Amino acid sequence: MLSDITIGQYYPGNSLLHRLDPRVKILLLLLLMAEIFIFASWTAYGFIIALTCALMCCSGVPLKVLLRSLRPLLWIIVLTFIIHLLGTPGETAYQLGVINITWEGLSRGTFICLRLMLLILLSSLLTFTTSPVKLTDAMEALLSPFRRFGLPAHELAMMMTIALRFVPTLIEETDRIMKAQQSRGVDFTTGSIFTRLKAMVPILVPLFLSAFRRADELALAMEARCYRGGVGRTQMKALAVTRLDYIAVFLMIAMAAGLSVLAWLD
Amino acid sequence: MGSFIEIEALEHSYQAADGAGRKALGGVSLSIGRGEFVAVLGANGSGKSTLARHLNGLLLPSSGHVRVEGMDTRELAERGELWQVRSKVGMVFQNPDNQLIAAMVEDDVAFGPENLGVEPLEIRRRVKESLEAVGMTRFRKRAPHLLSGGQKQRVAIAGALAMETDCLVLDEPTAMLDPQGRKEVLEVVKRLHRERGLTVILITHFMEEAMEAQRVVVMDKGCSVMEGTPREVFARGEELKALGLEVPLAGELAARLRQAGVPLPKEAILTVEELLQGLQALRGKAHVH
Amino acid sequence: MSIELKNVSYTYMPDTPMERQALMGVTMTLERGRFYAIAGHTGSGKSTLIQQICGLLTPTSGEVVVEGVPLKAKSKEGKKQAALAKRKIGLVFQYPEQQLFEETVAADVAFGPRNQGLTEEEIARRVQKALALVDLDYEAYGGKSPFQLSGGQKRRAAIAGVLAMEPEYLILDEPTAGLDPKGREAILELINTLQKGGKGKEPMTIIMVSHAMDDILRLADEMFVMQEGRLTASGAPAEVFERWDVLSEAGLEPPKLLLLMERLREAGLAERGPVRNLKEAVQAVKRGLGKC
Repeated sequence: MLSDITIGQYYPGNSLLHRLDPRVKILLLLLLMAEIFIFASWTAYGFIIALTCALMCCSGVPLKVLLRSLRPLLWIIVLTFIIHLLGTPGETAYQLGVINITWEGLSRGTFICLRLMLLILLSSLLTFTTSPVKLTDAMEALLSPFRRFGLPAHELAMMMTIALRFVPTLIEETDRIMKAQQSRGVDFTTGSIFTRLKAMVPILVPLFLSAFRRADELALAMEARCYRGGVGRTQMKALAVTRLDYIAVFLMIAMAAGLSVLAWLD
Repeated sequence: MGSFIEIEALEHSYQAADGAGRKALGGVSLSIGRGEFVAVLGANGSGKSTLARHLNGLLLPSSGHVRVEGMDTRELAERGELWQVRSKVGMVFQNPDNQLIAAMVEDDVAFGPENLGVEPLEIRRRVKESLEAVGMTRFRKRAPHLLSGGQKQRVAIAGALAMETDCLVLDEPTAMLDPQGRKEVLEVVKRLHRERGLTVILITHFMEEAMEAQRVVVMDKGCSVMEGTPREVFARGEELKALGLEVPLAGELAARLRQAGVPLPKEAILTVEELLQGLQALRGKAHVH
Repeated sequence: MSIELKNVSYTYMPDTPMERQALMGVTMTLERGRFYAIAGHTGSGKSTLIQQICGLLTPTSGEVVVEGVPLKAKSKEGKKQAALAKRKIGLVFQYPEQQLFEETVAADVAFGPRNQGLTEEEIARRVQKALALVDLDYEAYGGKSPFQLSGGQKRRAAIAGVLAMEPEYLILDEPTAGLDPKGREAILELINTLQKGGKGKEPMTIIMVSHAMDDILRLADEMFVMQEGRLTASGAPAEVFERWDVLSEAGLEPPKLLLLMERLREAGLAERGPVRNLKEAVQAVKRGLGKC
């Protein structure tokens, strides 16, 4: 059944990472990403890889599940590796006809791939340990300073919330409409791409109509519950920073400082 | 005790696609007392949903007035203060899927008080209490799409309660539910009315639900055509049927028996007990003869 | 001539944590020309069952045979036969008006026949016939947008879309859900007429999923009770409704008419014997009184 699909890849748990404030998690992720780009040395990467491994261990998410997040981007990683392997000039390590593999290429390819994998794993750690609802709240909180420049932070977050609520419902609905049209003889599986696209019309039209109707009714329901935009609104689950967050921030800043010193010494 | 909601010569016209106005309500006057349980009965297109949406200012009168605790909805709208009415008059809609906003039950119940700017701790208290009141505490961490229709409607009711509403307007809350869900929702509504003195306005086309009310208003073509206690209204079986509505089964059987020449007493027969009494009286006479 | 379900089981998402067995060993026979009703609590497997009958889902084990043709076929010829057999079955989903999508009512009704690859002439004939069957005037409504119709009319237009495919078996999943009493009565009347046939029309086999026990009692020749994926009772409604233990276990309530008659009988005011509708109830009471 289509309806069993969940959005995002939240892995429920109560680990140290789960308990961190989502705003802190996002900021620290950004800091780490910056470090990955700025401190491009093997020593620095050694520390960052060690940290990533440590985080993976205390995330409470099985290693298999974590590594699965690399799969969709595996081809890009492999391709990047090959491009760097073949395209970097330098001392030849291996030659086969026109293909010239250099030591520099090997080192650079490995480095870039490591960078990609670290970026993916670290952002996955965020989404694995933070529920979409919390992510949305954090996004709203972090973007709210930009409101004065006209960024609709609250509205964006509300859109996210509604999307999270309605995606499963709409998936269920798609499933039902598809079956209904199938029983009226639509064939989605054979024919040219054009005929298949045409076969989608009887599904898309009812789906859009229903989505509009839902939007309409939802707007009424929100109005009936005194929704007036973000102004004057409070939140039941207001995000709160705890000691754990301070410790995490302290450790991460210490690490950034250490890496800076290391880079300066180099 | 004055009336809580006062509807005075309320008219409402929709703007149709061709620019012409279509009258959905043609002069409804009605007053609803605090703590009353009123059912509004009518076939589809009778204007009953339009009426419901005037009660909390989702629609504004084309002419006439709607006043909630003396506050005129049109005046409030001009001042941009309709939320004052909306927090007093909570609303539950027909489609259980299209009125829950958050991806988790307790977050959804919190939505109303959050909009009203209530303190977080107080919201928690209200959410807890509202979920208890509708018996959904066990499901507070669930995603709404995993609930049954009846459960979703109970969550919607909790959402209104969390705004500390005085009045609940339910716009065909059971039309899309199975019998089990229908029963669940009606039980909760009846209990809230009984135990908390909540004013309840139940819009429905189910006769059994209207029977539970203290007063029934029957709508047809945008007008209120009958009003009275359930007994008074359902005694007019033929008229109700002409409006495309149901009548209680015992009353229907009594009417058929009369048609078939069984000389049942003239008094209205609505319940099984009354039918039993009527028939027993007949048998009594037969014994005498 | 019948549809046969032989020991049909079905599991959603097997071998995953979401695995859920929706049907367990269901065996039933649906004879041509009769009116069947399926009752059961939400989640009892009714929807899965009807999707099995019309071949939208394939059983995990067991088989569905439509007029001698097994729907689960491996050979090319067998698959062709199965596809033809499936055409004999029409399915009207819950809230079928939600599947309307064409610009006009006539075009929407024509959608099914067109997918079957019929000639334009034949399609036009079928559209007119189907709209007439559901009591929507072709001249008045054929050219209208389906979205201009009232709730009850939309539903009838959607049913016409299935009827235009001229199924011999018609499955309806809660066809009266969400309608007001008048709309409900109109749909039930339509279904009853289809099943009776007459006026040169073949009687149609009806399989109706319903929560309204009084409707089942009044209309169905035979009913099936589903509970947690199993078939727990089947037979004539009057007999099945006698078995209150099975009903209450399945979360169903007996028809209100039967509850009323039971009270009258206890008081000696109505004769014993099966009662299916108000007319028969009047007779039973008259005879009960006559005995006094």
